[in-house]
Amino acid sequence: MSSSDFRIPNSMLTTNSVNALQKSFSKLADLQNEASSLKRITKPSDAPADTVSAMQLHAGLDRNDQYTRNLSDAQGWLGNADNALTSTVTQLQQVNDLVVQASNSSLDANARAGIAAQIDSIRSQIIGLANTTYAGRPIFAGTASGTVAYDANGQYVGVSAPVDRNIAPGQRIQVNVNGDTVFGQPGSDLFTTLSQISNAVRNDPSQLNTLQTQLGTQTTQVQGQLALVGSQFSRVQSVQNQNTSDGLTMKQNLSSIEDADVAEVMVNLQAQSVAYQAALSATAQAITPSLTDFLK
Amino acid sequence: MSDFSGLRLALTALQAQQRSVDVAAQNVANANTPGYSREAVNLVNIGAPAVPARYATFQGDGQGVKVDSVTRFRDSFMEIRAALEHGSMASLDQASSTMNDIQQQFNEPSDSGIQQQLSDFWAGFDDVANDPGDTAARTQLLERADTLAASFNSISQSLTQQKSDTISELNANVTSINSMAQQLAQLNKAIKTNTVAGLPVNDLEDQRDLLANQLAEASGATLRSDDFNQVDVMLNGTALVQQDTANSLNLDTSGGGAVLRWANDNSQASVTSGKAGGQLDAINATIPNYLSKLDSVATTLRDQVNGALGGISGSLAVGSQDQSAAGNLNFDVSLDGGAFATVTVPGADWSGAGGAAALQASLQGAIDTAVGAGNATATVTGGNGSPLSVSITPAATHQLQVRATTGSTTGFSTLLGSTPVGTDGVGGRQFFTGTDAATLQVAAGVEGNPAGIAAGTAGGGPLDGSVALDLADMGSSQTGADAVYRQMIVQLGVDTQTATNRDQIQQSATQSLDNARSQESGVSIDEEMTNLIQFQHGYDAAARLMTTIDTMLDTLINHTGLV
Repeated sequence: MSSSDFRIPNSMLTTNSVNALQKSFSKLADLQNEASSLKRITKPSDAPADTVSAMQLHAGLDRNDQYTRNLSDAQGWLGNADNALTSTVTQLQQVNDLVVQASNSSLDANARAGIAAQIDSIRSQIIGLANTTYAGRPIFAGTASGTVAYDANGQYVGVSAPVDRNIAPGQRIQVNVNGDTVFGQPGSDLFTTLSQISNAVRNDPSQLNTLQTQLGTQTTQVQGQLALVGSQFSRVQSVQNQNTSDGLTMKQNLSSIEDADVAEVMVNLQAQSVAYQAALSATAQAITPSLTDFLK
Repeated sequence: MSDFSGLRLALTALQAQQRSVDVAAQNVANANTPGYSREAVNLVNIGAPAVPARYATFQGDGQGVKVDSVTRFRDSFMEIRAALEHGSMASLDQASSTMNDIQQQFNEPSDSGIQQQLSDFWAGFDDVANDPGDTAARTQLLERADTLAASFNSISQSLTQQKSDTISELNANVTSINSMAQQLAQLNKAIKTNTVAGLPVNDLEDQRDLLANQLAEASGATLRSDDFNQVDVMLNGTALVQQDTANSLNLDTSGGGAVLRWANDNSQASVTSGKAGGQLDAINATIPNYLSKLDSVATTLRDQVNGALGGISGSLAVGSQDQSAAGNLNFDVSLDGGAFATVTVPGADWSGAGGAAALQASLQGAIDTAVGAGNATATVTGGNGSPLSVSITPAATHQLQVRATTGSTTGFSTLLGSTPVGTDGVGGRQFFTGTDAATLQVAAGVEGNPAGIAAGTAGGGPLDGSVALDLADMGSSQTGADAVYRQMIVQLGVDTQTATNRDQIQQSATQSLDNARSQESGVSIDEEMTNLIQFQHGYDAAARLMTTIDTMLDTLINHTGLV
């Protein structure tokens, strides 16, 4: 009796069949996992490089979300500053008109006192505008912790420092303008000028000319800052658009890396399931018969 | 030739066929027995005597048949190769399962892994920067920092646990290796005794070969044929089993890792393959490697955050270097969380040449007075027409905290204006402490103290968020914790993939070798059935022969001479 290379013992047939079935079943299990999670990558070893791209994109998307929040915060600050400064400029023009009116020498003291009272009222309105807050913080007070930038007497109580926001990768924008930049350095600020004007209207109209020039300079200063705020605001808006489109791009990229192609997975799953069933039935047929079945 | 010799001849035939049927039956019975090698009877015809007696006559037509031996079908060289392949497969199986276990601990990519927690942590700084006075934003940041640190702790613990579990498994494996080696030596002894006595050893050899293969799988040992059908088991040149003597292994975990030592002389056993080799590799290389990678992510994070939040520094611009009119510049320092002591630096003109040296000497002297010499170093550079940079560095292992002297910020914000401070005015605090991933935690002064997060600088005003703004951007740093972590994950993915692939390749190699062994030694039912029929017919024919001779004798004895 000689052993030939083609002897196929029964145990070998069984072992090989079981191995083949296990391989086929493990492929089926992988595909089922992919179909139920709809993720192409569920662990780093599925695709190491893609895993890291996916992680980077996840982190990028989170960062992008945070930028979105920061941008809307920046928009709040700048929008409020824009409104406050626009109103301030309007009010100052009104003061200018009143000064022109008061310069008219035909006015008597009572009439001038009336104008002075109006100017005082505008002054306190502008102080109110200078104390505009956003989310509880006075926007012209820099990094001060108080609730106002100017106290009731028009005294600056802010701490002038930039307040910045991260709005895009590597981009930071200043969202505040400091009170002393807008309204002038303490001592020679707008509110002092307005007090002086009101005083001059009451008592000494001859000073009004000089004061009007001073007011004009300070109005220009406010307008300059208004323009700056406006340009920052429009920068925020354009970054916001970029932010939205960045977010979409990252989501698409992430999806193309991470998400399973549903149609493909379903087709593969079906094919593998058929293959597995075929393997099962072939094995059932192959391992059953031996010569014993045919001997009497 | 005698009249009765035909009967004897028929008897030998009957016996030989009977024995052949028995062997076939044994093969069928053991068709599914692990380690069984099929057997076949070697029949030889009984011919002329090799040395004829002087007056013997031999007609040349033979004396029947006899069973010479029973052959066991087993290729001993293939066994040696099989031991190698099985050892290698067991080692790669272990490597692959170790990597897969490690990979599971990290849970990436997901919405709950460390990457996500890092992103949340950095984003928390933006929220603090957006509203530095808001305790809720700060508390949220601390919660996120705690979660992040806890994740590092827990993964590190899991990896350490995995290591100690593997050590326990290795211990069990070593016990089983020692016991298998003992059994193998006993089998060798029995085989030798029987072989010398000329007794059949087929069944003993089957048991021994099965055991040798299991031993190779467990220990990565190689096999070597020895005299009298014995098999030696070698571990990289040293005998685990030599003939009937077995050595044994001990597990030594005294050095932190695991080492196998020979019981007889306590020298180190070189085990590089088999399950034990795989386990040793996991314990001594793979798991510690990922633990140290995780540690380096944790320390990178710690240094990144502490570096940004914990420095003590400032600068004097060219116009403000003449502080002679300012009087004494005071601030408070505390060493290692102790009581604050006041540092007094008399204001002077530091704008000229030598100004930097003068300020440094004055500052160093004042600090030494406050916290003791050698605990902190003041450094002043620049000056003489360019800005003066001032910094104070605590000595290694020390922590220095700094704050404005109560009731006045003079000095502190002048000299050390860019020191990050919390809303409680204290600067120099560390955010994270700990030496590795297992011990990383939010530092004591910050934990539970939202005001202690240094979001702004001493000179930046109460609601300054500039430091937090810088930190929020650190997630995108190419050298930061995020990048180091992702590097580790890509390595983890590649390593796991490689281990799995190598394991699969080795599995198919081992499988085809097993098939070859099985082709040699396995029982084919079809073949045995055919043999049975063949021997049955042989038996039938021999019986017929017996009947024929019987009839012939009957004729001769009972019918001769009768008419």
